[in-house]
Parts: sequence; structure tokens; C-alpha cells
Amino acid sequence: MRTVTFSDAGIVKLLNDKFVCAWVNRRPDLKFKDGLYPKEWRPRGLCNGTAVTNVTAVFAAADGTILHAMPGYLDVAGFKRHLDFALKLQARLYDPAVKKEDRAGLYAKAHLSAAKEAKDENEAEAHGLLAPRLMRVADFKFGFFDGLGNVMR
Amino acid sequence: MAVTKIAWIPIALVSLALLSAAPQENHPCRCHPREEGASGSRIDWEGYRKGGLAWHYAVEEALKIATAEKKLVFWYHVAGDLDKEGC
Repeated sequence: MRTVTFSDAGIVKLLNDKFVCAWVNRRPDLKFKDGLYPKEWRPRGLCNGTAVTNVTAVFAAADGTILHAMPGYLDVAGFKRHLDFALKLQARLYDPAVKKEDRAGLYAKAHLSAAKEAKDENEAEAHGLLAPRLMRVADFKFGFFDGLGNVMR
Repeated sequence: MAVTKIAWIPIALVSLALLSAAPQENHPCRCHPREEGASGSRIDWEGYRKGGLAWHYAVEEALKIATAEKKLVFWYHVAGDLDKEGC
């Protein structure tokens, strides 16, 4: 993420313009003695949501409502797609014409729809997990996506 | 009287030195060890700043800034000692 996605000029501009970025290390004690990947592993390029990674991207509205989250490595196109999803969902949920009590339903509908159009299985399952749960940042646990195989915990 | 006035100079210098010795972050390029679930502090990891991305504060602070600036929050979760490799 740092050497590819977070170094992309377009992503940097979008994040700096539209988002305030924060970070958290959930397991700083976890050491990768021999590196993150096995020596015999020959990368063929990481695909989005690669399960061996140890990162999760979370997008939240300013009131602390989580709009979207996606575990694993995301390439530039993938990360941009999820950024756009969060931005569009925020605009939809916080439209003055939308009642607060209707937000959870719209949120679920958006995620279920995205799950159907997802580019890969990991992404589809992540949307599926998120759909029934409109969470606040305080409620989000790093283990939320454990079922998807993020093993480096 | 003149001696008394001159005596203030070293006192002022010592005071300035003490002020400038305020605690500073001692992790210029490391993930700072924190308890499970604790929010991250400012990240000064040059790898993550390579593209000019501004990583600021703990998520609580980010939410306050986002409210004031009418922005969203991107909250990046990592796990492990990332000084070796990893995303």
C-alpha cells in the first residue's frame, strides 16, 4: 500500500482533499522475524484483498459512522473504487432529504448491491458482512473480517 | 544594581534551554508500540509519506477535523511490526 497505492499522486490528492487520514496499529507487538512472506513465495503481483496482508481500510463519515471498510491490499484502481463508493454513499446517506432512520436501510442496500457487482470474492464477502451492520468507529474491531482470511493478526 | 541586571541573562538562557528540552517523539520512523485497540499517533514513517499523504491524528481527532472541514475520515488499520515489510 505505501509503495504503490499511497504513493500514487491521484490517490494522495483525493485523500488529502476529501479525507482526514488516521491510522492505528492493532498489533504492534506482532513481529515478522523472517519477513511478512515466506522465502519461497514468489509474488505474481498482489491482487486486491490479498488475504496474507495485515491491513484494513476503513472509511467513515465525520460523525463516526462507518461507511465502508475493506481488508487486505488494494491496488490503485481498487482503492479508488472503494474511495468512490464511500464518497457516494456518504452523499446519499447525508442528503438532507434522507431521514436519519432511513440511513441503515440505504447503507445495507448499497453494500448488497456492491456485493453483486464486486470484482472478486473477497470484496463481495466484505460488502456482504458490512451490509447488515451500520457501525460507529468505536464498534469496529480489527477482527471484523477474520472470516475472510486475514491471517496476519 | 548593574550586576543584578546582568544576572538575569544566564537565568533567561537556562530557562530557554529548559523549555527547548521539552519531550519530543523518539520514534521518527517507527510504529510506536501501543496497546491493543489504542489509536495511532502521528505517523512519521517516511515510506507512508512518500507521496505527500498527510497522516495526522488518532481517529477521534480526525473525526473532529473532518467535521470542521466537512471531510470524511480514512482510518487505516495495520497489524504488526511493519518496519521490515508489509503494507
